[in-house]
Amino acid sequence: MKRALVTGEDPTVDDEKRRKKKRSEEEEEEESSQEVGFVLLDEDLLFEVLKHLDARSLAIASCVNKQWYRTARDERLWELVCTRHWTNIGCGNQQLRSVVLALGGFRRLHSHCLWPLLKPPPSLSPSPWAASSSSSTPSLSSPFPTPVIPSKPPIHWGKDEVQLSLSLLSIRYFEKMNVNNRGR
Amino acid sequence: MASSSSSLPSPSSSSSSSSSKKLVLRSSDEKHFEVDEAVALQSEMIKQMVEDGFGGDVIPLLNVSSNILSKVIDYCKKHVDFDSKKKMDDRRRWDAEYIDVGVDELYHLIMAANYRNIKGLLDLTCQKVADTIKGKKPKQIRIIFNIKNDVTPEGEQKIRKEHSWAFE
Repeated sequence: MKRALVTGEDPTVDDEKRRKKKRSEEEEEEESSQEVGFVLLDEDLLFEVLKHLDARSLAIASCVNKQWYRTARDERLWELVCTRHWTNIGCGNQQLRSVVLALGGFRRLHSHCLWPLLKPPPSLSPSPWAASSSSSTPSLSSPFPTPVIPSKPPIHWGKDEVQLSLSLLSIRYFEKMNVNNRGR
Repeated sequence: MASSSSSLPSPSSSSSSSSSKKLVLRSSDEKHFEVDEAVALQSEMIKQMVEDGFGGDVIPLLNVSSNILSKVIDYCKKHVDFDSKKKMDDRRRWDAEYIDVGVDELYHLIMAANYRNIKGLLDLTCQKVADTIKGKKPKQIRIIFNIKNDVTPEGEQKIRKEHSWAFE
């Protein structure tokens, strides 16, 4: 009931493989069940723990072992990570969820679209869209000096930021689709 | 409810609910604990049992040892008091002190809170584990919580790559 909403990178292909993998892992866990320590936490309890983590800690936690990896991939955890800073998303939660899941999920949304904006800016690395916009409009270049990057990104995101990040996610999604079609 | 002066002195008799009714809980090592019903009912599991008519007998808690049970009862007693006073700062301070325990005890508290279905205690214990995890490397997390690594080095490399941004 609680573990219904896990979406992988490619659910159609991986589903059966994952099910088999899960079964063998469960057998392994039963074998080592005399172990003391937090190994005995079941996945629902581990989920309760991981709910309290920020994005980076959640990503690092997924490297601890197989059980933690499986649990930390849960889309509901990444939904919490993404929406924690959003004050007004401009649509219903359910609607947002279905859009994001259709475009690849909250984990992807975070790593591709949110993290690059939330992390501290690296030393003057040119962003791809800055380069393309300057090449298309050379005559209008730099009416102002180099854009000032705010040292601290806004902690609470409003409707515009949310919609922008969703647009970026959908662009990536369709870009990827085109590449796949051309490649095959 | 108004006349509580004649009742026996008890640590949680100041709470607003009448403290007349008692329940007896039995730990896994056969020790008995008599607690106010209001305190015991912090546990959803016990609440359900009482509603189902098991309140008159001793309530056995097979998975909880006496030292953990007494710690859990401490939590429930205190939070019955807090609920009647609504002092958030006091509650936070008390919780922080309460949960300052070793990994083993923390583990047993989580299991007890989950088994007895005490939401506040479950949140508190899970938050404590999460706070311990924050800022640690996977290796450190495994050591602290005595977790066996069942991922091959190649597998771990792959997982890291999936979240490469977090390791920058």
